[in-house]
Amino acid sequence: MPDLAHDEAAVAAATGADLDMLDGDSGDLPKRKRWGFGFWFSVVWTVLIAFFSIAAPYLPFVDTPGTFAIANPSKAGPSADFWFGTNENGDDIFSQVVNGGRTSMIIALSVVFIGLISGGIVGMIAGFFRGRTDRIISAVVDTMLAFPALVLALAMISIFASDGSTVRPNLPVVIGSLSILSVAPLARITRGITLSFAEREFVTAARTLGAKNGRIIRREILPNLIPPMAVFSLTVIAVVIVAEGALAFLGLSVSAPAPTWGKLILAGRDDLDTSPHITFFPAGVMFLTILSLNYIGDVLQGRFTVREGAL
Amino acid sequence: MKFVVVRLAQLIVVLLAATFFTYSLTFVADSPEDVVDKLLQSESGNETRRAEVRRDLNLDDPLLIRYGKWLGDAATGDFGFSYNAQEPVADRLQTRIPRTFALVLLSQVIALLLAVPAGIIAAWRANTWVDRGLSSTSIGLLAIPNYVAGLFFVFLFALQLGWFPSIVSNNLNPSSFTELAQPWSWDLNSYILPALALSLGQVAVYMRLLRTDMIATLQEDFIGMAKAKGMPTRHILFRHALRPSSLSLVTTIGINAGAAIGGTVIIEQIFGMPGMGTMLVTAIFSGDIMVVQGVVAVIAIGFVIINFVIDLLYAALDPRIRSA
Repeated sequence: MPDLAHDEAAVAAATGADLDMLDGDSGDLPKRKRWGFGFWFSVVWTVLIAFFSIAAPYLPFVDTPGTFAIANPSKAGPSADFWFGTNENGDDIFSQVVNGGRTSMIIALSVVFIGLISGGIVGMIAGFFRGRTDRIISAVVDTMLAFPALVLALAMISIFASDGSTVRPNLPVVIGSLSILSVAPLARITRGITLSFAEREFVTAARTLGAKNGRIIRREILPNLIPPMAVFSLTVIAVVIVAEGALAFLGLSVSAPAPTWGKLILAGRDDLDTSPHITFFPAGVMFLTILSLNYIGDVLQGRFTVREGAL
Repeated sequence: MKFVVVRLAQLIVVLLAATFFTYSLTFVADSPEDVVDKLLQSESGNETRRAEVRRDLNLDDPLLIRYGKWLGDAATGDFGFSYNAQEPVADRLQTRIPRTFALVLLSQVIALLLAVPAGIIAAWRANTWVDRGLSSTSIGLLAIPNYVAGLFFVFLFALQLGWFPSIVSNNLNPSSFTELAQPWSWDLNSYILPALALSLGQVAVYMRLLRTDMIATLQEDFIGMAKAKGMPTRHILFRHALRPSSLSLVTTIGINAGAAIGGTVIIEQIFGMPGMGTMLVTAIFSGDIMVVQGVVAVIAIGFVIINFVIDLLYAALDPRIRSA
């Protein structure tokens, strides 16, 4: 008979151990927390994606984008020659996924970089100086967070990449528009973390020794900010990869020839019935990448005990 | 009461910021002459038409005044004239709004129908294989972009199984809120796949929130009391524990509905649905700035209304806020 009583202990344990779900060993709470299979899988996958994205132009089994592929079979299923099959032009989908990942990563990392610099500085100022500065910055950030950012990104692209009859966004426009997604969240999280460090003893100690604000920020606050910010950036990278795909679906991502994951997923849409592999191989790679980034972020955030809810 | 008023003020600031941002963007990127060129296209050599457009858009006023006039018109339901479609923006919005609204509403209903029971079970059976399975599923769901979900559902439920149509049939959309209230007069069936695709990620978010809050609630004394009185488990979970556990879930519905509105832009595109998102994308491609501004404004207004309703609901759920 199900009753609530026997779950008392489990309930108590759950609050501390809810991040190890994929490990399979959270039930009996090991003394030393292990990273678990899910975590290592995610790390290996992420490293693999990073390696392929960097090395794409130098790998012998990856075709360069725009290669003449007419000799290949069209819309062939996966085989030893074409690991993910081919699309309607006979392009090797595996090569395209690798090259597309490269573009998607360039976009995601640039957007996160912009967010870290601008959002980070603003958030640090708000968290360190507090008072009126903080109130104003927080109000602006909250307003930005409140509105569906993708709609604003679309509006930006429509204006910066349109000549009235066609819209051809280039890489800087896509990166600039998507940055609207990363600045506010990173500003808020930096503010929260800075706030928690600004009151700590070592900061008071530095101040007592006569350190100026600039030095305290550089030498005391910043080094402490880097680990949690790096972890949170993983989640933001995942968000940006998804958002780039959304733009691609609307035909508003980087214009040809560079493939992106979003564009590859879209490319198979008309042949979904007959050749689903054209859509689902890129979609699967994107899924695993987002899953891995989110999961690593989740686990590490649990370790650093930095959670948005707690800020 | 004070809580509600403060929140309403905040929401109106969001509304003004979003519309002003979109409005001013147009004129940051282009000079008024460029704007006229873009709007008139082939007719841009015609001086009388140019003067008309300049007057129509108040292009001779400074930006802030122009925005003020646009806002004043928008408040009375006049969103300007679409030079591409040759009709007032408001006319087209009127038929499009109920469709997107239906999609967002349906997606939230589906998300809650799936997430609430799942969250309750996960909390009640915390740290068992049921809970672990549900939590792993939610981590997986969060990693599926809505467009991938959309394509997958089309592949599985429409093309392979044939349970639902793969596109939203053009002639059977609700074109007014009156029609919307009569689901038999339009094709509700074809809205299910798009709504499901939109709801997937939100199921995970809602489930996780409810689980965490519910685990805390189940440790409260009044639950122990209810158990001691011998109340049936279902009664304890749904009648006693659900309401106090649902507060953070309810607050995030507003934000999530916002995300869902953003998602409709893509989902409508996949299912060929003639809603506001399709209207926005078409306008972006044709450089129809009045439509872009109109749609963003309507989305902002919708967002503000949804969040305001959620705040009222929040106050109704938590007596402490009502009296404060």
